[in-house]
Amino acid sequence: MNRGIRITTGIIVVLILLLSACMYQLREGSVAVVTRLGKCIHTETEAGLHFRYPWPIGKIYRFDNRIRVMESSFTETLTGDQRNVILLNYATWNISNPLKFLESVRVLETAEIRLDKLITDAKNAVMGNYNLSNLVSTEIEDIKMAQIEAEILAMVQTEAQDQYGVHISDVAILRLALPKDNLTSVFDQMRAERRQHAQRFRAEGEEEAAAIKSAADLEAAQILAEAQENAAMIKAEADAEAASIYAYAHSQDPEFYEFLRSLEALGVILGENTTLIVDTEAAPFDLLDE
Amino acid sequence: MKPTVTQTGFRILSEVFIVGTVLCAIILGVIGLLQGLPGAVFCTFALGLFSLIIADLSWSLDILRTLEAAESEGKDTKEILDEQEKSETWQRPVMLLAWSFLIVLLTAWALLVTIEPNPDKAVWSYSTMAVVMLLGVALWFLSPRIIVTTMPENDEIKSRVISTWGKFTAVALWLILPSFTGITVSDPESPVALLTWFSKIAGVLVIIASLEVLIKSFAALLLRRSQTLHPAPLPLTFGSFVSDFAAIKKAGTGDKKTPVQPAAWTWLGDFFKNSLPRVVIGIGLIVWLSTSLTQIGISEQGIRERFGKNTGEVLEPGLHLGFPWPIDRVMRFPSKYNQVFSVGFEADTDLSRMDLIWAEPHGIEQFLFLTASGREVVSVDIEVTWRIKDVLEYAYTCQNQEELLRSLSYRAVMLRTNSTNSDNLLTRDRSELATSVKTDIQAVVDNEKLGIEIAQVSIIAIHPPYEVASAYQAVVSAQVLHDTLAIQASTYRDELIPSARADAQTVLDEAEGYDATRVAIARGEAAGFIKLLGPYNRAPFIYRFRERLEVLEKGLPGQRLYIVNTDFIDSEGADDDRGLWFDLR
Repeated sequence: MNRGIRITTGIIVVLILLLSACMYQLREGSVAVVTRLGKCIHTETEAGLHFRYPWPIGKIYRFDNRIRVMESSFTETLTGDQRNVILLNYATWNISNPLKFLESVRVLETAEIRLDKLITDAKNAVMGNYNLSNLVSTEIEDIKMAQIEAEILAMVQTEAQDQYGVHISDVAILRLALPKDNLTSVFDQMRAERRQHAQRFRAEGEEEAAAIKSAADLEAAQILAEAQENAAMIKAEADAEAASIYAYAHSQDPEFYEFLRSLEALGVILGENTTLIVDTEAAPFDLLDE
Repeated sequence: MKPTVTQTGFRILSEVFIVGTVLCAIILGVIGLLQGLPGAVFCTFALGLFSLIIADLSWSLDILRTLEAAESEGKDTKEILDEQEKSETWQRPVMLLAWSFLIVLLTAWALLVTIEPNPDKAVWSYSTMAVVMLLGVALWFLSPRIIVTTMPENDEIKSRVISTWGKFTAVALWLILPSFTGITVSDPESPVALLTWFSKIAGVLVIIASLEVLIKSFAALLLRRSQTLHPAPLPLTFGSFVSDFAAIKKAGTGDKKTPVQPAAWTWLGDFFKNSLPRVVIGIGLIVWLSTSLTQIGISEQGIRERFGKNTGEVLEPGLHLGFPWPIDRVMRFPSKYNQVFSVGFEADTDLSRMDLIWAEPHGIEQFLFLTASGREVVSVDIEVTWRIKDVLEYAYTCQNQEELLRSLSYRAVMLRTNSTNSDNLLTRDRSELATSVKTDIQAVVDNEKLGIEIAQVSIIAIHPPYEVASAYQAVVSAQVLHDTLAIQASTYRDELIPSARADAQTVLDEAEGYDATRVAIARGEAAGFIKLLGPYNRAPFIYRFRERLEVLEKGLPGQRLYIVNTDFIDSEGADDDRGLWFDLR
């Protein structure tokens, strides 16, 4: 009994070992290069369980075949109009020819270094034909980003395919930056521009204030002048009315008015220090003469 | 009888482990003080120490059983022990070096795996732990030495008990603290997390063992029964080795009336000695079978691969049964969980506490965007919240999905900034920009079939680079000044106009008053005149006469008055009116 269990266990273990040596799993999204005695016999693209020659006769090289994004390193590029600009780009790629890939680069990291060099080269070459305004501009039609990217992609696609068995599906510009030295002068210029704006705001403020003040002065003067005009008219009318009232009354007996007015005037004239020579014929001095 | 290979191996292993751990504890203490250490480093030592204890227990047990067997067969135990002692001396230096090297490697690995980018957080807790570990080490070595030097030779029982107690306290201190405090591993899938669990289990076992030994030792001390005694565990190191080994020797060769009783060994030691293979196989089987069960968490979704091939099945939260590894593999994705990354700046680890002051650098790094003029740069800080929309697409389209998403988002923002001036950017409608950036990113993400949904794009700030931010703020100050001046001028106007109106009103009122007065006077006077006419017309002469005299009466007194007779003038024969002159002469 005990012996039977031992034998069964032994057989199971041996079976498992055999199976694991002769089969392999390929995961979804992966490809594998299957070799026998160092020679490639098959490229497996289907995921699942597959047979193989046991190690060390057969070897399996697995590669992740899903799309991979790779950011380029920072490289300074000179544009057609001699402007330095740092162009950061990314590229999406996957392995199209696993055997070629295995032969030429073996690992993803190496491949990315090579591809980065390839793309940087193409980028520098393409950017020589374009100006900075093709990258940044307020005019939408000036920006030729898509065209630049397409040109770079066209330049690298075939070479990547032939050299490394890699399919580059997309090359796109990711970030535009300025080199550090340029950045300093850009900052200076931005500051100067802001100072100008600030100065303008201050000057405009003063201008507006002065305008408001003088307009206010003017308005005040106008208000006053108008009032004075009206006042003068009112006064004149008053005088006229008074005059007409007087005229009406006095015309009843002009002689009497004359008398009264003279009398009044006389009263006023006879102020202090008047020297008066009076005829004795006039009353009351006529009494002196009798 | 020669010592077996296992015995020697265990012995040397234990010896070197202790030396190595001491060295590393010192190194860790120093590094911990300098930059703080994650718990996994300590876990490594917990594991090492646990294996050491097991090894040591087994070894001690082996020696004692050998001695017992020899005794029962009537052999000379002294010979066996002498030989054992001899064989132990020569391997020691070689193995010591080798194991020290291995432990240093282990430490280096633990450091590499677990060191955090932000070291200033845990300095205190980790250095405290290192200090505790060093205390444990000191206790470990000092307690038997002190006992050996101070205790009289015959008080052997007491000395052993105390030495045992001291060692187990040390172990407990050493293991419990690092295992149970401050061990946090961010990624629960990493092997470091597994290590943490092992070290916790090891810690529990050590606690059980030390409690057992402690209780038994004190019981022995109280009962004074040498039969229940056993040699101290871990009797091997340096000074303690000499005394403890000597004690074993003495027990084995000395008085035959008190033979060593290895039966009273700890339960845990026996348990491991006897049932370890079965336990290990059982645990292994359970662990293997448990790989057929997968629990998908509350915010997760999973996909199943059978023999590596995608089954196309999406596993929703709950427990799922499948085939055990390596037939089925389940990958889990946090598909309902919103994840966040930043564009334009590298956020501090603690996003919630980020202050955004234009003129001060914020975040770990700022990325500037070149604006349309080609002469200005602007800082755009955006946070993108996303979640997985389609797990299958997400898993199988791209290797580094998050990186691609980040790149696509950067590009979407860049395509906005490269055609807009910085002034427009700074003043434009944020929510509109956020919405359009979100639409852009979603479009490219869908185009790439990434299986990702952009939940939200929030614009934290669009601002000039902090180097020039103060200049921008000066413009704002100037704008404020501009408004202030205008307000001051308006104030002046608001004061001036009403006062002018008041003045104008005064002038008008004055005129009206004049009008009223003048007319009233005229009316009054005219009426008076007409009233006077009646009396006057009745006797004009009388009226005139009276009035005139009244005036004269009023006006003449006090005046210089010359009254001239007209006759006189006439008599002088003057034909003109020069009487006055005449008079004055």
